[in-house]
Amino acid sequence: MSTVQSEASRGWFRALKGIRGLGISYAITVLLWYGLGLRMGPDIFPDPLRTLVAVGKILTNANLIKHVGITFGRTVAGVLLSMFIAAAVVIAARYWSPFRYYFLKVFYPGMRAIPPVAVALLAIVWFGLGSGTVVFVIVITVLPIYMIDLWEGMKVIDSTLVEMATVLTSNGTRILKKVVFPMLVPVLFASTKLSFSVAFKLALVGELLGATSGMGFMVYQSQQEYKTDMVFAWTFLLVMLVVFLEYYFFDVAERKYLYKWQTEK
Amino acid sequence: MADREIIEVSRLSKRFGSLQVINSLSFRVAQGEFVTIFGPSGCGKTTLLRILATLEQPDQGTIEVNGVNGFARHEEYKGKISVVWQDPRLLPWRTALQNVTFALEMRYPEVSKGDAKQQAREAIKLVGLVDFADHLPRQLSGGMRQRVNLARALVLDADIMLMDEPLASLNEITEKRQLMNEIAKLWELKRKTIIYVTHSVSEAIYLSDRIVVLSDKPTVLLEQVEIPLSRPRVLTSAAAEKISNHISELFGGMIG
Repeated sequence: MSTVQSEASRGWFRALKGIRGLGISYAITVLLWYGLGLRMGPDIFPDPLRTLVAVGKILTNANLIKHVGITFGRTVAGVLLSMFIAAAVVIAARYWSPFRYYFLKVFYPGMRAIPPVAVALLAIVWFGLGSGTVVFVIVITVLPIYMIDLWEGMKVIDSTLVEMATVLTSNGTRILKKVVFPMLVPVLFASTKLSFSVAFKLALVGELLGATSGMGFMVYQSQQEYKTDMVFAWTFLLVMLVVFLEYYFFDVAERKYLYKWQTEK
Repeated sequence: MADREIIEVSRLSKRFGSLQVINSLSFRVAQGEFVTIFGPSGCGKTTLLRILATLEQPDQGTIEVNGVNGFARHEEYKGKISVVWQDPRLLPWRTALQNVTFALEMRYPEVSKGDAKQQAREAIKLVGLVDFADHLPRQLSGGMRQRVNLARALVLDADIMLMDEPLASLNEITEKRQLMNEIAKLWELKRKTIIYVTHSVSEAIYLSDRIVVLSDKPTVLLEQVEIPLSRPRVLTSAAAEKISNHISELFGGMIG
């Protein structure tokens, strides 16, 4: 009984130590931020309190908060579109050898080398100011992440499972849907997690250059009006969004669903 | 062979590069018969089974099931067979039950989800895994995974079951014995035609009506040994030992 109690108290102690560690880290960050704010002044480097007030302004104003939704929507659209395009391209490259050469020698290296800013400027010419440009910038930059992950993932898929399925059916689409795609779920998950954090930053660049709405546009507008506290607040919100997705949404989803793909006992 | 003939393998040859693996192999299997393909390791038994499963194309010869050529009428032929693999080949993200329904989803997509689940439950029950139906493969022992593999083949209710050394991946002797008994019982219950590949003489004698003994490469048919013993069989009986010794002698006493 005493062993159980001491185990439990050790668990509590570890948890408290963890919380305390995290608290100290956050406190140091806020203090540094506060110190820099004091030294450089509110117009150059707004302190945490001023930033929080600005965040409050955004969160309580429906006209401002809608820009968070717009950026989020564009990011999700860009990431999903990239995923579908990459899946189609990689499957074509895997099962159609003439395209495979083009994919490996031209398409993939070319896509990786394209600078996002140049893409954004061209997209403004092609699509005008708005969501089309932002989504396009995200797709062009995120596509190579999915393509390389899926390409490598396809190389290591368990061919014995595909063979098992081919004895059951000759229908290639059914095999893709029920065996190949599910096998790629962990790869897609990892790519999506990485893509989201990249895509949010790209959305900001895209909106800054080629849109009249969204968080990127609001950052630009705030900077033009010398509202540095609002620039900080929009950036802070974006960081919080990325942190929330990465450490809460994706981590929880990983724990809840992805364990099924583990093959080890 | 009193029953109706179901499988005819005729003058089958297969070569990989310069290596002649199978050389003009012919044999027949009757409906409901349990035939074991026996031979030393690496003699081409699995290649033969893969040809029977249409996963490999022979260089020469034909395979037919009730007159349906495996390569000319591929789809029709494939509908008559199911395979129990050496390694269980289970989808890790699906539970035991879902792995069994998978076979129906792939071969008979017209079967409703409810019916597929019902049929899969029956197959799971047959292999004694009712309490583990909702477990993922990684939560099952090696023997249990092989039972799911067996249930996945059973649920298709195909005329012919091809079994590629299903006990070879099991480490524990008790698990091997248990599964061997299960296979024997299921065969007696279902009376499906089974072609079973093994390099174990005892498995072959315990399970089969007839053993097709193959030579080392290039594989030719050495002899077809009938097993006239009643079931359940006792491997230590004098009659079983006599058959075992006879098979061993075919390989100069190098196999047992």
